Amino acid sequence: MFRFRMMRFWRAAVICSAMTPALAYANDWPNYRHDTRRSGAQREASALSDPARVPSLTVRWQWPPGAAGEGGSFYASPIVIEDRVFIGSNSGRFYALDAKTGALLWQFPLPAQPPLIGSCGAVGNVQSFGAYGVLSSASQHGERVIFGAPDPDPTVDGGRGSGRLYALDQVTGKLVWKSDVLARVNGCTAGTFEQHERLAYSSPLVHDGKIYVGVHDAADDPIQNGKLLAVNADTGVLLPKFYFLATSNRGGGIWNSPAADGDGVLFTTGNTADGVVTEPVPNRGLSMLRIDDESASIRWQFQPVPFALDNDPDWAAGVTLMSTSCGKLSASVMKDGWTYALEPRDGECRWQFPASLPHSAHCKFPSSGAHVHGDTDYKRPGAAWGDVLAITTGGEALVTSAGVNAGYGRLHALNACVSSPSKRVRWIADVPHSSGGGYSLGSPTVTRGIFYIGTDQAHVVAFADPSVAPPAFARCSQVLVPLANCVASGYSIVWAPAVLADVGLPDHSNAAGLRNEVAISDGRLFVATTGGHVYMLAP
Amino acid sequence: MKIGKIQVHLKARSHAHLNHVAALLPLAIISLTPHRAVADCGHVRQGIMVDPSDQLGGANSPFAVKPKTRGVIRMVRFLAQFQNGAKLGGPKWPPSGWTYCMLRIVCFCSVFIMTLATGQTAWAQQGSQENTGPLPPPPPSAAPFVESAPVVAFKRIEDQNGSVRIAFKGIGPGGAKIELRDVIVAPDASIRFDPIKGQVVIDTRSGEGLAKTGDLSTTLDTAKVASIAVNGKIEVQNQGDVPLVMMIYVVEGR
Repeated sequence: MFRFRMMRFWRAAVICSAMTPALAYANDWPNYRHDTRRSGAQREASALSDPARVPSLTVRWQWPPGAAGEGGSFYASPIVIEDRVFIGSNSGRFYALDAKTGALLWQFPLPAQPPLIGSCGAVGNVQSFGAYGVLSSASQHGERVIFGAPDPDPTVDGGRGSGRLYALDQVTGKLVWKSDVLARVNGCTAGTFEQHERLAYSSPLVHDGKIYVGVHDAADDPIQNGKLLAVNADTGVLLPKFYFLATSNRGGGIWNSPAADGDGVLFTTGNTADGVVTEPVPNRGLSMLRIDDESASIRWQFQPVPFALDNDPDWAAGVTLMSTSCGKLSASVMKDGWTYALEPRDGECRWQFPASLPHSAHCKFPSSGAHVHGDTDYKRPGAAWGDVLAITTGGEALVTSAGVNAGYGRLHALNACVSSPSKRVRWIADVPHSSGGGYSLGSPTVTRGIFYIGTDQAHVVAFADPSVAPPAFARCSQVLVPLANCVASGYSIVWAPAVLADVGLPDHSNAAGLRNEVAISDGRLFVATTGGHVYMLAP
Repeated sequence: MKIGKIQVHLKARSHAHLNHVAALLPLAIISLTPHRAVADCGHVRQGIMVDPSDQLGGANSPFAVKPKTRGVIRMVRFLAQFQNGAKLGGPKWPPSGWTYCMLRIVCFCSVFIMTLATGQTAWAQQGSQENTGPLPPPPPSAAPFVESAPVVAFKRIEDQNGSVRIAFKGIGPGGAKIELRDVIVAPDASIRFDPIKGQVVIDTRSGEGLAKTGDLSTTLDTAKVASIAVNGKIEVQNQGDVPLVMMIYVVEGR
């Protein structure tokens, strides 16, 4: 009888304890941009949300410990689950590190096995067709981590590097499954109609028992047809019912990580005019879309730049789903520097920044318009903190001649819920120790009003929202207009936030990467560089 | 002792709402049964059934429980059965002694802690939005203004609500003077240029307005480029609520 009771006790105790991980690990950073809404926000309080402690931020460990680095470059961002850091390299290896010490826990594939590198293109070259390694930031699915990478198996498209998703056990690093082939590389010749698809910059979205991932191309040579595909989260088997194809021809690549909102999946698409003379029908390129998470049917499509003005302003940054005091918003910036906030339910444009078009235009540029929508470098998603969207965007100067570069090296904080466009800008930060060029900043992240960002000069910089710590100075919301002329020209005087910390990383390599972000977990920052190091920083 | 039947009406669609649901449902159970967890050990238990799926209007009503919420409900139902001694899949657990009593206390505490933590998370998420509304504008007298002068800065057009900068200046074919100006006009303001004799091409980059010269007027918007022959002063009015930004090409003959 006693034994029977003890069995019941232990059985119940196991069930009770199984309910507690949600409490213990609320500080995790389990996805690219933290969560499936891609908020880029860590809500849990820690030393990193304390403006008095952030100035003491220093590097606590680096991996590998030596100066040589991992051997490749980290373009993916780290994720952190239960004190383990997971990240892949363009060397074709995926690693798990101890978040407290930086010790290597395991790697995949094992050192004796070939890396996840195809034979098509230079090894580890992020522009190559099939040899780009692991550029995909991982996502958590239960006890597994999921990421996309080329498959070197010679029985798969000749080992050129067709892309799959891989699911690994978080504790052991053992392969649980690899998905069906999702991105095909069936030839190595540029400028042909061979398929040169890949899974690189799209971090998988784990949502409702499925895993969604975007397919894009390599260096537009030639441009490939964008796809959003889904696999069964427990088996990796492709779900044929869910199939989104961007065009009838070519283009509309999905270079970003889809977000989830209820029963919808939101993402953005690249351009379609590269090498394509006539507009494809349908043309889902240069758009933000919401599609049904079961059938992939399109709920809405927002396409602000028409085909006639398509000079390659890919919509490369993904969607940031915001929960604000004025409702939900899906916000993102196009490569041309214009930022949009839409109503996630029906795709109606709530605002455009800068507000250059008449209200009646619904944020859509007329085909006859003279604006240049080109291949500029606004590719980073924003971070959402309440009503604030922090993002690298063109800014008010975008509409002036040669003003398209004015947003480089700067972080804009935008008020998402103000009705007057003149109040849109909350603050503007000139990020120190960045080159000020097109790819000089990573994606911002935020915890309780303190924003973190990596730079191409391998610094991690922290800014405090002026509501959290006193600002540094005042400036004009149009960065090319001096303060004295600001109000007379119709702009607002706004704050420049205080720099709380500016920490140089020892290997002096690019900490911005391509989509790289600073992960915030349990009072620690995690960032990786193209020099092949992962760093942990803490106050 | 029958506690009663709770009808829960849910329309939880967002994660935020789910947090509230997760926070409130265990709380509802605990608030009804704390004495059972600690003081009713060893006595005969009558099962309570919390059945949120027994909702008003059935599954298709506006109060229908979304599939994702059902997981929470199943958990709550389990806890309710468990706390009242009901064996999963069976009618009830038999009475037991000290071990079982402790078990119930442990589970009660777990649920209570989870409720507090989940509620705190929901509260924290709401709280994190409290200071994210518009900031008070910098006070001109007190703010430590630091000017970071742009490389090619705009200059205010004297005594007018607008700014201009010269982006290019040169000599074209036939000795024509060519000037490219970036011009900004504040909302509801108008500016006048010095007399021009030649052709003016206005490429509107932002906003909408009106260009007037003599008896002629031309609307300005981002959909088209306006070309105007000018022999005298030209006035530009901003008729929108955002700054009117134009690139103006001025071509003057010698």
